[in-house]
Amino acid sequence: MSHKRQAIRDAIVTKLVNASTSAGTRVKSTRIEPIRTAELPCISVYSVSDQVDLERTNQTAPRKSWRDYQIAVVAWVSGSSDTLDDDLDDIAAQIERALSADEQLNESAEDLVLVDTAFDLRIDGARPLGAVGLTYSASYYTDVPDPLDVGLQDLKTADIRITSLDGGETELQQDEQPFEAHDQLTGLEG
Amino acid sequence: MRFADFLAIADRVVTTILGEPVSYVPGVGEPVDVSGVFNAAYEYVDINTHDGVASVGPAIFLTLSDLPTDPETDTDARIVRQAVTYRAHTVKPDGLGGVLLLLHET
Repeated sequence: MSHKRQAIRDAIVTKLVNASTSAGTRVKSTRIEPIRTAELPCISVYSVSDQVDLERTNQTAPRKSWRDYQIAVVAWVSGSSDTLDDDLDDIAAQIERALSADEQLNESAEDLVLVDTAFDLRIDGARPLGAVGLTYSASYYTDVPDPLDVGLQDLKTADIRITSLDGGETELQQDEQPFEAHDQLTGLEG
Repeated sequence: MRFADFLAIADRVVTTILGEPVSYVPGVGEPVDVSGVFNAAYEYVDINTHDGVASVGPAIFLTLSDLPTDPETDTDARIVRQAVTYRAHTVKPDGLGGVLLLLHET
């Protein structure tokens, strides 16, 4: 069973390939081995970090582990030193446009936001090289526990209380009367 | 014999015997055929990311007295070797008559 992070990365790769950027179909997920100069320009997509939003997670029942998944989308370009910055800006704009068109990434994430863009150039190698790294933050959640692992107990009874009062902190408007309602539902397991 | 003189003799032997013919094209003027020691060793270019580029670092060693212009000041000069044209992005004179040019393909 694949992790939701893989679905998010795969969705990003697919969208970038379909967007016909300067990299064309040369978009890879999680590169470890060096890129070959014949493959340039190209784009790498890989994980940076995945942090749990505890405050949001603790407000869920059953528990949903809400995550802030940082993904790097790095475009590599080689060319003339005079135009390298422009080339990097061009491909960065193509990436931004492709990913902002669907911030849910075909429903693999709740949201996708660009948080940082970094540039670097190198004189080493057969031709001047540049890289632009776009860091995206993808919001998603995982069920805790996974329903496939543990069967959750059926909801049988709900005790519901509704009140307009918040401990007296809110001042009532003129002619407004506080109200409180209570109900109990049973036999919900059907 | 001074060291500089000895080195000049050694460089001449190296470039003549171990070198290969290349064309030095000055920014202004006619190309000149010279002998130089060329290599393009593997170079891994890392740009502070999780991956890098496997490239090569072409370079050529030449004797300054063979060249019609000084590559350090003639920024439009080119080197043509086996039908590939290069320009020097870094010029490293050794101070004793030789110069190492770090090249980029144009």
